[in-house]
Amino acid sequence: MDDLLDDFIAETRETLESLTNQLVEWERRPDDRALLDSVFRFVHTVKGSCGFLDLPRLLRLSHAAEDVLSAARLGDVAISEQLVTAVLAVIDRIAELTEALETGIAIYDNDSELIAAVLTHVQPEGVFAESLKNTPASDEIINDIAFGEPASPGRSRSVRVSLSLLDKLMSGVSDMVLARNEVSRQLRKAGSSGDLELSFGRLSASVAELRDAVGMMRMQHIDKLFSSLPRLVRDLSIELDKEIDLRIDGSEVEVDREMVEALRDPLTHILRNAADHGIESAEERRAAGKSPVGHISISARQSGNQILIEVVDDGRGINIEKLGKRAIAAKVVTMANWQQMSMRAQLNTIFAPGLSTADKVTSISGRGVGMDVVRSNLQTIGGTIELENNEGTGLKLTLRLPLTLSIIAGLSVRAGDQIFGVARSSVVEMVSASNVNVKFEELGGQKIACIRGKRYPFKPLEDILGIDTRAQSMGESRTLIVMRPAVGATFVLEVAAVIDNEELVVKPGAPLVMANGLFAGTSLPDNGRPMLLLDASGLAAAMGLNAVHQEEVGTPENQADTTPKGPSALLFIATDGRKQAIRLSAIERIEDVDITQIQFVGGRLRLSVDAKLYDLWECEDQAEDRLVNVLKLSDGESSCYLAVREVLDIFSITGDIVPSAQPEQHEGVITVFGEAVELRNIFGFFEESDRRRRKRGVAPLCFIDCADDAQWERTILAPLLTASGYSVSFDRSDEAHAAILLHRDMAKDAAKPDDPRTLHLRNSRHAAPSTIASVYRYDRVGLISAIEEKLAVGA
Amino acid sequence: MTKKLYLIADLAGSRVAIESGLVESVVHVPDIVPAPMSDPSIAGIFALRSRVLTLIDTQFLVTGVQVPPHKGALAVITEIAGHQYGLLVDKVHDVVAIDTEQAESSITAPSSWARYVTQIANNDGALVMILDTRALVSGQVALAE
Repeated sequence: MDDLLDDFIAETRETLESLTNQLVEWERRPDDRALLDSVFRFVHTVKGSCGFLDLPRLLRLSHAAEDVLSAARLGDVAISEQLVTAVLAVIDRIAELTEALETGIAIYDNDSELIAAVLTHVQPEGVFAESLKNTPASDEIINDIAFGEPASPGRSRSVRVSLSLLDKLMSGVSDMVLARNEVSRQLRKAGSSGDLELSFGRLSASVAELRDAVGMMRMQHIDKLFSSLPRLVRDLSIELDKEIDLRIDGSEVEVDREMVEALRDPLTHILRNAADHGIESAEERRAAGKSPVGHISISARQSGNQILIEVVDDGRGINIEKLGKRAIAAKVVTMANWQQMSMRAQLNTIFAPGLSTADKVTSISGRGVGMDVVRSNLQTIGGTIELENNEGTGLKLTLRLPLTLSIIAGLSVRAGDQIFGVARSSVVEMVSASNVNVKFEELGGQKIACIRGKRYPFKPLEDILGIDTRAQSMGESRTLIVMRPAVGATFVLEVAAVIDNEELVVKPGAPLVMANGLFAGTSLPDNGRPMLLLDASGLAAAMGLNAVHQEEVGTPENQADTTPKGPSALLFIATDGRKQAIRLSAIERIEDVDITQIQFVGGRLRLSVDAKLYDLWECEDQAEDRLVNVLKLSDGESSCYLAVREVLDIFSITGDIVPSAQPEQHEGVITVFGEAVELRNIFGFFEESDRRRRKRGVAPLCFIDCADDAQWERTILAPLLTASGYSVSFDRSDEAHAAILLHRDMAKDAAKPDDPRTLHLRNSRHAAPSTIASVYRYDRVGLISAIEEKLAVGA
Repeated sequence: MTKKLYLIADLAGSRVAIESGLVESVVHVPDIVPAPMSDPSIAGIFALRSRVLTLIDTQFLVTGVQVPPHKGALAVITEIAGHQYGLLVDKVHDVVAIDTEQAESSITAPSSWARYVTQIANNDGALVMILDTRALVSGQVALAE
């Protein structure tokens, strides 16, 4: 019985989530029969289960809603806003009661009022009690929809698994990854045999596969989050008496399950703000020449290892002047500060605690507990928020979130004799402290680092963490890391060295360790020594920076400096010893790879990284220290590596790019620090791999007509076709829609009507005296060109 | 008669008892990584079978003197509020059944211990302090109060 009840609760909850949208849609399009039907079906299902499980309150509620809806379906009742509101109230109560079944909390019983409100739409008030008896009429209709519509096809099968079990599995898998790392470390230490290495490799690969699968399991459609929003906006628009149109895009984007939970509050806040402060009243909008209906659009998309959520409204935007007055009144900034601040910094004061530009406090927002909460909530999950204010015409908020919470790309850095991890997402760039482009200045005791003319507040990590630096060897070249924490405040951290670049499994640390706010969690890298992960925002706070002040440092210069700046590029010495440059935007990272990772396979040099093969360019014999410097290049979809001898510096491309005589090799020639340098053409690196890939994307289907045990077709022909970019099928059901049909059985062919798609293969090199044109089965070039010809004719 | 099993250990020179149900294991701590700027009662973090645990300098909590922990020190592993900790101890003795109803109510723990001790019990004629592990990992609030 308990199991049944649990199932009922879970099922009702799930259906409710998907239903809210439809209810709102239904109100907009009351004559949409499909929507009405699905609402009706839900209520009916609840009613049925309640009767079975003996839940009288739910039964009464669902019954009343069902009555109204069935009358609406029959056209006896016009669908009005009040009706929808009343039905929604009943459905809300059903949701509350369902939750209460699980938690055991009592819900005040004024159900009869709700029921009355619903039933006034079907009958004159007072007689609603009558309807509590089962009306046979409604049951008949139920039969025709409940059984008339089969379960929606194409839905993948799934099982319900308890959350705790799932969590256990996830933590088990991350433990397994860590354990594997430990084994790999010990294997390295012990110097293992080839066999052992091989089986460990297999284990390692399957662990990685499992981790990916579990990672997928954590993923959920962001729709889970978005589905509640139309309802929220509907309620808001009624409450505020504004007409608001909500558009949602990208519901199919997948995010971490925990992320959905963590985003719920911030997104609700943002929407409330947009509806309340952003969108003006209909009269104001008309006066401003806008359509009286306000628009809010929410879109989600994945970009690399980030999820972007954009919330755009076409309201009045943020009035900077008003914001300034408020900020000064709330003592967030001083008048003098405000005037010096950049536009962006001024806008960012909206995130300061206790600030709001709303003229009056409403029940919805305006209590000044909005945006700072939004920002801090986002920060805890490693996200950032950006504002784009168009005063008078709207506001755009961009939320950037990491793809997963538990595994991050990280750097390990050394401070004193200790190692710490840093999330790579917060690192802007790394420069050697001895680089000619780096200067240090001091301002009233505060140290400032100046990198390529841009000034940042600066502190050695050892100073922040109170680590003894005496042990450190003198004259060692230290590294500066330009860090950008969650909200636009950039600073420079000096560390003794950057050690490694790896995927880190992050686990929360004990509260006592995390209490200082400097750490984001703990991690156990491959070397088996636990590591604390630094929190960029926490470090900024420890340096006495906050987002508002941040922007001021060097602002006037900054602006003068940045405007004429061109795109950044990396200066390096290529493997042939020449100095060259490449656009920074194409570089994903700079790595040292072991020479054993490089192989000449499949006709070219390839680099294997994490069990994947990448093209490697320009790698010459330079094995003196077994390590090869490589740049990982990415065009957003695929990656390849470029070997270099040495990485020199990052600079901005200024001045003209002189066209190259070999455009396929070099984009042009530029002047860097007074020297002419070739700017590499990134295009070429991807051209080849892309060509191969694109072909596969639209792979024409070849159906091979042969016996089930035809060895030649299966072991020789099919792989050849696949490698040449065609997809292959032996399934007779594919015959009808295949682009090419391949036959070797000439006798059978003669009997068949001639299909223009058919290509005949013959066993001997010499064409038999036959009327049918055919291709010798080992003539690869002939075969491929014959297929291409057929395809061209077909097209 | 309610007898429960307790792990008897030496801590800062005194004999203490930790409910055995809370004890996961007793280990020699491998490499300890310091956690800078954390609560002074944190001796650092360490790895145990692919997990990262927090090491509590119990001696500091009682005596107020930080003892630099060394590799191989003994720690009692316990889970508190979803996090795993190692509590540094000098020595572990045995697991014994103690009748907690026979608590020595007339004797109270010395003030430096009071915060971490739930009661004083009699174990075969010797007095032991029963530790409240939860209090041990709540930092040195006692000093601030």
